[in-house]
Amino acid sequence: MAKQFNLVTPDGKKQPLKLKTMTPKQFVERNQAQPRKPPAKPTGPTNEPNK
Amino acid sequence: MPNETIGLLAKTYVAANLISASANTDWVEIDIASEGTGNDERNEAVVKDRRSEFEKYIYGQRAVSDEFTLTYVKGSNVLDMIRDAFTNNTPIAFATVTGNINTNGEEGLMYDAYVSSMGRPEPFEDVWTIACMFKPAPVAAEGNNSPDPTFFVVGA
Repeated sequence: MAKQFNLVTPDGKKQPLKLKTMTPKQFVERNQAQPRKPPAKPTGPTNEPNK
Repeated sequence: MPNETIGLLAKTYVAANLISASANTDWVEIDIASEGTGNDERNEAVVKDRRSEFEKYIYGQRAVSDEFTLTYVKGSNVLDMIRDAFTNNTPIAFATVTGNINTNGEEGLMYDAYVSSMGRPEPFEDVWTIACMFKPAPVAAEGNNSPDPTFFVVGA
């Protein structure tokens, strides 16, 4: 039987939850696979020499 | 919505029906929780002899625990659940989440826990609180496995 998680709301009702469980190793691998945002470009003055 | 989070947005939950031993686990938010710390460290053994100027370390098992300050609220159902688990020395399911456990994308850690302490400072002129500590319990599931703390993602 599949494991079911629920949230008991303050009014006592049960709301089914969808939780994807993973081992610590799988959790780290998932985070490493996440796309990363490129670093923001500086908006202030830079040290580049004038052209 | 920023990727950063603050403690106020994070949530903790407990459930009387264990993760390892029940078909259903029904989470109840610990709405009386305030400050918390999720401890996660490895036990270590020191190599200490005359071969080096420096101490060296060998790492052992990973030790996870979660400690929280709860507001002492008379008649709180969730406080009663935690106190019963502590008093009766019975495990209780515990989860700590970066946000609501029903919001897609939130991340968390859950495990069947023993409540190892419930310290109760009683300040003369301040709100009473309870400092409680959760630690993973060796609960026997089917096949006598003792499940590890489990990471999860909501809605993934």
